[in-house]
Amino acid sequence: MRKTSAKFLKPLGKSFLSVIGTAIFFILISQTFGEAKLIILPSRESVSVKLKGNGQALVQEKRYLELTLGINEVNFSWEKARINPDSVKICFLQEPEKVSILREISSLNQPSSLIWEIDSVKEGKELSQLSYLLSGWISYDQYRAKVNEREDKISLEAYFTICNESGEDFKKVDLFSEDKTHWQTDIKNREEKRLPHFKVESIPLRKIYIFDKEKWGDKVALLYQFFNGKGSPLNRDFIPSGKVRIYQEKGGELSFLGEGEIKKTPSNQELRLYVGKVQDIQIKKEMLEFKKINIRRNERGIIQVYDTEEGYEITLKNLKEKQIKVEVREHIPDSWEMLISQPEEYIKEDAHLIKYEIEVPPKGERKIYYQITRKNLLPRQIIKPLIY
Amino acid sequence: MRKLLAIGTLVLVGISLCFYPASAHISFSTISPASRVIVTIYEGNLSFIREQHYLNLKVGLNEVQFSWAGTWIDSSSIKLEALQHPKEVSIKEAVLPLDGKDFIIWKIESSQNLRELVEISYFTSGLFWEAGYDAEVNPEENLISSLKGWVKIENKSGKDYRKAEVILITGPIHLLKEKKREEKRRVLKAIALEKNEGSERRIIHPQVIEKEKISEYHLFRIKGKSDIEDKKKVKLALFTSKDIPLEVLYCFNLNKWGPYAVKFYKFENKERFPLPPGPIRILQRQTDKTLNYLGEDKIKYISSKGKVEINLGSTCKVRVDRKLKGYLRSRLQFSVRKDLVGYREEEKYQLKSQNFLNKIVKLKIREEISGEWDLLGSSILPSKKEAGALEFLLDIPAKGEKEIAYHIGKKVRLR
Repeated sequence: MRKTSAKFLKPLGKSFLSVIGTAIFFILISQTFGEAKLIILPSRESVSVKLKGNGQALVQEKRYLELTLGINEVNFSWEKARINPDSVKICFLQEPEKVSILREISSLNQPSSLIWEIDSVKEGKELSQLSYLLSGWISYDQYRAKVNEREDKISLEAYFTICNESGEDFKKVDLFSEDKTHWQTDIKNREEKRLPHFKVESIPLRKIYIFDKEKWGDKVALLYQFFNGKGSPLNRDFIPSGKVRIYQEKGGELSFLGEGEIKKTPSNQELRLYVGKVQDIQIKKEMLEFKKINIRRNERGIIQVYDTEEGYEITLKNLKEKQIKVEVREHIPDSWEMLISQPEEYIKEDAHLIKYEIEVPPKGERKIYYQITRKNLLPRQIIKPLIY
Repeated sequence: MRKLLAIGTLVLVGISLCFYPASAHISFSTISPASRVIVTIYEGNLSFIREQHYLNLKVGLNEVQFSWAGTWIDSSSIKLEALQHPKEVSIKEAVLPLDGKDFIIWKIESSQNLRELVEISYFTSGLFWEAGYDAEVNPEENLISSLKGWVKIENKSGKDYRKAEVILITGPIHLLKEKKREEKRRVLKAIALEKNEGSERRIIHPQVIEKEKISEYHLFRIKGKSDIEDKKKVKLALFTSKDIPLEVLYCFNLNKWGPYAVKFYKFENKERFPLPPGPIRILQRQTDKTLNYLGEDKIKYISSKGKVEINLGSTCKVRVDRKLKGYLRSRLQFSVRKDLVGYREEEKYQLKSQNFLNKIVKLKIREEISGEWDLLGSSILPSKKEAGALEFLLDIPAKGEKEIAYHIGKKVRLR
């Protein structure tokens, strides 16, 4: 096998390869391949960075290789860039059938470099695509949500923040976020950039008041609910997770309401944004009855199993000037039956959660009363591992 | 530098004169570089090397020296065999000096003046191989247009193997435990010392390592000859399979992956050989011919006609919401002493599957259920029922959703 030429593929960034590295490689190549020549390749034609969401990005770059007939040697090396060496791949885009990769050689003393032995039956320029996984990326979304004075519309502005700790500089890079949003930008190593992601105005908004003791304690929580999907101005494949700063626009002025969080939400789903606890809706939950009935004991008189009858009263006081609707969520463990419910309508969300939707008039008060029986309860010392 | 590393070479025994006083009966053979090198690499850091050399033998006793300083060659395994004239050529003894020098001297008796092809074989550690795959998937995701298998061979053995025929063996082979081998070596050394006073040991017909049959293992022969140089890693093509039918399956398992389904590719290994374990990269050709990277997984050993399953990771595109809709504790059981000894739990589950993609998807829902349980009912027939799990297979229309429900009874024993 006669080696006709060797090519030196040098990425654009200065950080990629030091002069010393080049010298070492020169020695290495000239030792290994005897007659090999080094040719500095032209720079990248284009480069794209596709973020994978796990700190890694797929980098794809296009370069023209000047091929000669026979065996060509192409060296790709990197010094500081956090490239996964096993992921480096080269392919040809114009006449791939005329160019084949015979071997890929790496030296264990030089873990950050590769040599491809390429057999070409064509002479001249061939466009190649070099791809590799590069780690050292941090990216996240941050939101700015603005509600109008009447709190029936919300605008959502997402900013995409990207930090490059990959060791490599990128110029005029086609950058793609996980949800395939595209920007063309420059991003240097150790640089943080904030890029506009998306902005949607006037999304219909509903204010939701929820009482859920397990989730938000003794106070009523306010949530903003809006829809992502068909029919809504917000209609994206998915909404990335991120911190939200919530503001209200009132008479041309912005006031900060608090911070919330958006979870990753696919399309055709409601988004609920927790805003905070509400002061002017008061809630009180009291246990009015509790009795153990149908107690079954063993011979030594120790309780083995029992039923209960429990009654609860929840009082809602609306101190506002307008009517409100509150969602009251009650968690009921074990197997149970409803005996009395006032009001009668409730939604059984699942086996252990019921939901009342209560309208409370301005400056008014409403009560919920429900009585349940829980069946076949086990005293704590009897419960062995419950499986689910 | 290379010469410093190229140690396992045969040298003219003239060098050994310093160890052996010249005798009238001893001739020194001249040798040529290896005419053929066969490198067989097993899994688990073991390789078997066969080097064939021509020796010019003279009538009488000839001495041949082979040295391996700086390499990982197992000295107890080195063996020399005459290939062409085994009757005329006999190996009288092999001598290994005990003063730390890594070389062996064979005393070869020849009944004629001959140019003889000999094979020197030995085991070495420090050579490794790993397979890997690049699978190119068509845009419709129903075909793997090409599956390229490659192999990476890493040489840390301290020795270059040039123009070698390379054979790779899949599957771990049985080896004596290192201790035992060491023990054997120690004993051999002692025997040698007993037999020979002075600073060298002599072993007649050295043959120490037990060779396992390779009948149950698969073997890959790399086409042509390869240079496997020390301190280098070489990646070579192994095979290319074309147009393999591909199945896409989404799998939901709440305990394992959370509410979003994980995407799997499934295809058959249609080759007549197995696929050794290794990483597999999934690529897709774009309209501009560039390759897009879809994901990566590791495959286990896949036998011929075996199914390959590739996990492409969680997507946001298929989601399952699981709800416990009913719970009942009943059928209490008491002992004669009225202790509660067991009861039954009934659980009703509802699974709402949503497909956010613009195409129909096949979804496999796996529900892991521990304990002793019975299926009391389900809205669709499960595709599989195991002691610890239920599986349902469903097609979910594009941008659509499907709901299934099932009902189980669990027996809980307290004592």
